[in-house]
Amino acid sequence: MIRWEYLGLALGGAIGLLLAVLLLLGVRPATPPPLAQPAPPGADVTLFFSEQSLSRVASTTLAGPAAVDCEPDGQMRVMTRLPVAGLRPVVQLGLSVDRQGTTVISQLQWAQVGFLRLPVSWLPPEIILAGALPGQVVTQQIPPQFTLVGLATTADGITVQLNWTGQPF
Amino acid sequence: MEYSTPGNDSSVGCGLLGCAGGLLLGFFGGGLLLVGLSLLLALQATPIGASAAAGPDLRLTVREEFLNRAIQAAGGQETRVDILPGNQVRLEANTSVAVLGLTLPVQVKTLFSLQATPQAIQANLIDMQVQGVELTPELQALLGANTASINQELDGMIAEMADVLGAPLILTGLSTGETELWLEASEQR
Repeated sequence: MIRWEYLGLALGGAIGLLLAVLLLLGVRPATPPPLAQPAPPGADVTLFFSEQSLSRVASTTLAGPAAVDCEPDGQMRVMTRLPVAGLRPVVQLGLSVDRQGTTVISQLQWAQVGFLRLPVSWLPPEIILAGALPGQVVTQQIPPQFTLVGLATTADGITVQLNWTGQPF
Repeated sequence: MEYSTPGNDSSVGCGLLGCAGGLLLGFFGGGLLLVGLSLLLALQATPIGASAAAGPDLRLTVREEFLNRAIQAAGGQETRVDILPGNQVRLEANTSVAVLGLTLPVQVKTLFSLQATPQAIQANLIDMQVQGVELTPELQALLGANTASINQELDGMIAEMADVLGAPLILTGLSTGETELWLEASEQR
């Protein structure tokens, strides 16, 4: 004879597991709307950096292998190992990249650990801070004689438009 | 009138209690299991690098108007760059030479072809027109020195690009339009 508590436990366990799976796999952080990136009519210098170059710069900055995957409309993904709970799993960071004045700002939108994609509010501060790094790195790459006037991402990389400040080279 | 037996009530209660416990256990246990499994997969994964792009690693577009402003700021008020299609650049310089105590205005128009080699851009003199004086060997030597100086400036530009990228570069392409110069480079791997 089946005991009711075991039957309840099995049924409850199955429903609970289903709920957990639905909750964790169903979390899909909202993708920010495409950024309006009006390009200035004619910048003095336009520089395009490929994904491969950005990946190499990211690997140097993070002191470990990193891969950058750019998408149109100011979206970018960085895949690298980051410290999480004392471990260093491969984390995929979904970032939005935008220009604010003369600096490049990158903001973390989500992070994917394994098959779980987590919204930014669930993430530890060190990962959120890591999201700001690509923007800082691109800003640092701009020579001091130039000022940033335009930024756009494509499927192949990032294009920055610069105007000369008038400072001698 | 119906009476529920104490045995039946207890069975339903135990069942409900078991179900609640199972729900909690399944939800948190399953959640932990999924998180653990996902973390395990992430620990074993390797960051996959960007696939080798068909295009260049770095593409630089420089406008003629900017070059002229930069030349003016560097003190070359009387020099003008004109970028031409077909990898050509015309330089127009207004200068003066002293002949027999007289200062004569001279206009020098030089046409260069630009060529990208893996390590540098080379400017080669194609044509030269001098208005105002005869083209003496001294003036020719001066223009030769100017060509070397232009090549030096172009080398400096490549070095600047490599600095920006933080890696040595190999030039892979150069082309010009009516008002722009495009330079393509790949990282030396």
